[in-house]
Amino acid sequence: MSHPSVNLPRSRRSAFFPAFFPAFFTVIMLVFVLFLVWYVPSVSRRDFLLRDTQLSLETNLGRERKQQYEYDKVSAEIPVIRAELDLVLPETEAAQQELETLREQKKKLKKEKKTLEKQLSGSGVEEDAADE
Amino acid sequence: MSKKIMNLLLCLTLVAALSLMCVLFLRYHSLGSELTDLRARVSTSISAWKKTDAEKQELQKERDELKDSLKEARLSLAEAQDRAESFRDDIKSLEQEIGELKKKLP
Repeated sequence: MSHPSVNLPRSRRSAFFPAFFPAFFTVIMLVFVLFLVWYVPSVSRRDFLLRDTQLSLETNLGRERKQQYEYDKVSAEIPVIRAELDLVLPETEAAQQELETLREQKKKLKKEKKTLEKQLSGSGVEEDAADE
Repeated sequence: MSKKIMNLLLCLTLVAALSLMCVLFLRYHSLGSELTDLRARVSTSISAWKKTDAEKQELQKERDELKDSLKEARLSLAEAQDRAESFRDDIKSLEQEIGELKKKLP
């Protein structure tokens, strides 16, 4: 590509546009075209990555919120269960103690009954012997 | 004159092309920065929810243990109450039998 001003005598050439201007223009335009060839796919790839990362960020933020919600829920449940356990445990201990007392009482009564039965059978024998 | 205008136009085109290149390159660079920033945020978010998840699992374990203890305590209480009721009945009948035996004694 030759510019018309290149063929002009030195005296008629413009002071603003030197002889290498056409070549300079061609080189710059070539660089521009190459830049566009590189730029378009690179930017579309970067755009895709950006959208993908944004989606990933939204997913992870959602997951973070969910985990936090579940964590708060479990944290709130623990004191309630602990309070309930604090109420039930003494009750259970009292019930066990009462059971032990009742067991002892039953044992005593059984012993007493046996003794009475023995006494009764002994007095029965004595009465029979007296009758005979 | 027309050559001058032509040259001027070419010059303007050059300037426009160079400016556009600069603008596009800056946009490309800002996209890169945005991408890096987003990736850092994703990484922070992932580590945050993983940490919360680990803590939540520990809490869940503790809650499950407490629940098991509560269940066991309730079961034990119910069993003790049932047995106590049965003992009370036995004691009542034993007392009756002893009363009858005492009456039979001379």
